Amino acid sequence: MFFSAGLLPAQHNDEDRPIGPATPEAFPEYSLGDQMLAINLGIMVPLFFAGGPDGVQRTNLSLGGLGSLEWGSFLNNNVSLGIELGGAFMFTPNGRALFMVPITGKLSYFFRSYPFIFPVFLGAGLNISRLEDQTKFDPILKPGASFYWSYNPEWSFGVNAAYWWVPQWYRGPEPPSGDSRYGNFLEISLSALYHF
Amino acid sequence: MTTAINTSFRQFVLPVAILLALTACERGPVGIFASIEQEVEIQEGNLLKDVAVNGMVEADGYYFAAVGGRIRYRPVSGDESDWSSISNPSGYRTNHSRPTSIVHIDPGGAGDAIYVSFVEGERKRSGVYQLDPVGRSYNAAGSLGSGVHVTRLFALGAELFGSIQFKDEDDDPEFELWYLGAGGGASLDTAASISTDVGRQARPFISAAANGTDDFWFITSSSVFHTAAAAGQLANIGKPADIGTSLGGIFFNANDLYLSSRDGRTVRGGSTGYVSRDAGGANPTDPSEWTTIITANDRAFTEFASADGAHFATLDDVFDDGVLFVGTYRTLSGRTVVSPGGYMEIPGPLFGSVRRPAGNNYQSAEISKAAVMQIFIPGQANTIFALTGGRGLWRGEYDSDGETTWYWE
Repeated sequence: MFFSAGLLPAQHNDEDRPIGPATPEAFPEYSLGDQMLAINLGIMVPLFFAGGPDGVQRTNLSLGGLGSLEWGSFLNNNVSLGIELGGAFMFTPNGRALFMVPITGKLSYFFRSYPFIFPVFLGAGLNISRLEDQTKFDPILKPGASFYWSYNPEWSFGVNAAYWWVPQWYRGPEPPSGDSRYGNFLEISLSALYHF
Repeated sequence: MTTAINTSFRQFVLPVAILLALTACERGPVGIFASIEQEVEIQEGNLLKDVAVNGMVEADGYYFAAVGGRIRYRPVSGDESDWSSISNPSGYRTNHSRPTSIVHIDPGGAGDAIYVSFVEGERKRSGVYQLDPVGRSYNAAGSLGSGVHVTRLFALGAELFGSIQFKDEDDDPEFELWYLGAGGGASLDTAASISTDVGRQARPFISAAANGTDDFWFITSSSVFHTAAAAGQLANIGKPADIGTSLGGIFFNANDLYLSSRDGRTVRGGSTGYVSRDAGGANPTDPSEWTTIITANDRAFTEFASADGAHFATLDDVFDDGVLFVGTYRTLSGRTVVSPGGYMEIPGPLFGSVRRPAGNNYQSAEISKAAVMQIFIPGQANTIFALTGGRGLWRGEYDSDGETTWYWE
C-alpha cells in the first residue's frame, strides 16, 4: 500500500541511462509525497535496566543483533513521517533469547550538507518482547540520529544510532508490580536508504 | 499538506495508538526485564543433559542416579562435576540398554540394599541387580526372562515390588505388579504377580505408597490399587470422584495419603492438576474418603516427595512444618504451553495449597520448564534433586528466604 501509483517520484530520470553518483547539481529537493525505504542491519547494545528496587542494574544480556525495515514519506524537504518495523535479539546468561519487535511511527528531520545527510528522528510505538513462553507488549521511544552519504539521488548509505527506551510496566499480582523495569538499549546499524 | 498529515494520522499514528492499548497484555509469573536482570548463570556439571533420570538414591556417602544408559555416582561431599559411571552388568552394555529404576530398600535396616532394574531393548532382556555401593559392582538378583521388562521398581519399607511389562510382537503391552521379596535377600522372587485378581493392566504401575504398617497402594495412570499385605493380592479401589482422568503419583505423608493427577484435556485451559487427600488413611479401600484439596490450572502433576522442617532448619520460617513437593509434566498443545513443567511446593502444616518455588533463579532455569518426574530429598540439608524426563538431573539449594540456587548436575 506504500507504493501508491499516485505519488510523485523523487527524480525524473531517463529510464535507459543508469544513474551515476550524485553531483551538487543533482542533489534532490524533496517535497510532499516523496517517499523512501530503508533497510538497517546492526548490533544491539544492552545498556541497563532501571526502575527496580535496586535502582540501575546491568541488563545481564549479551551483545545482540537487529534489523529493521523503514518506510517514510516526506512532508517537505526537511521533514518526513514514516513507520519502522524492527527486530532484535540478545541472550541471557543461561542462553535464553530475548526477542524485541518494535513497531514505531517515526518523525525525522533532515539536515543536509552535500553529499551528506544527517537525519535526527524520534520513533514511538509498540514493542513486543518475548522471552521463552512470555510475551509482553510495551510502549517504546526511539530517539536517534543517522549519518548518510548520498551515492546518487536515489541511494544513500550510512549508519544509524538510536536509543531504545522501553518502559515495561506490570500491575500485579502476577507478575508483581515490583517487576516493572525501564529497559535501555542502544542500536547501532548500517543503513541503505532508497528514495523514490 | 493538512490532508497528507490527516492521512498519515489515520494510516499510521492511530494504529500505533491502538497497539499501545495492548500494553496491558501481560503473561507469565515474572517480569521479562526483571527476570533477566536477576538471572544467575546456572552451574553445569558433567552429567548428560538431554536424558531421562529414572531414579536416585544415597548410600555410603555417595549419590547414585539412573541417568541415561548407566548408573552414575558422585560423592555427597563433591559437586556437580564429580560424576562417574558404573559399567552396566554383562548383557546390558549395548546402546539399547538402560537402567529403568534404582531404589534403596530398608535404608539402615537389616535388609539395606540398592536394587537396579535394567532392560536391553533389542533382545527384550530385563533383570534386577543388587548394587554394591562400596565396590560399585552388580550382583544378579533375578532374571525375568525374555519378553518381560521391569518398567520400574518400588521400595516400600523393606519390601520390593516391580512393575512388569509383557510385550508380544503383535499385541499391545500389558503390565503386572510383582512382589519381588524383602530387601537384602540372596535372590528375588521373580514370578510372584500380586495383580492376578485385577488382571493385566494396559498401563504400567507408576507410583506406590505405604503407611509403614500393612497397607500398600499402587497406581497406574488410570487406576488405584491396594493390598493389605506385601505378598497379598491387589484390589482396584477406584479413583476419587472429582479428580482428573490421568493419575500422576501416590504418597503417604504424616498419616495422610495423597494422590496427584491431571485431567486429560490437551487444549488451552485444560490439564488442570489435582491433589486429593485421604485424611488419616481412614479407609484405604474406600475412594469416597478422598477429598480434593488442590485444583491448579495449567498443571499436570507427577510424583510427590516430602521433607520435614529439620531438612530446611536454616530457612527462615519457610518450611518449619514440613513440605510436600510435587513434580509437573510439561505439556504443549501445538506451540501453546498448557503445563509449564517444573515442580511445586505444598507447605505444611496444612498441606492444602500449592505454590510455585520462590525466586527468579527457579524461573530462569530450565528446570522450571522440564518434566519433573521424581524429586529426591537427600540427607544434605536445604537440598533437593529434581529428576526430569529428558533434561537431566537438577540440584536445588534453598537459601534462608526459601529461594533456590540451581545446579544442572
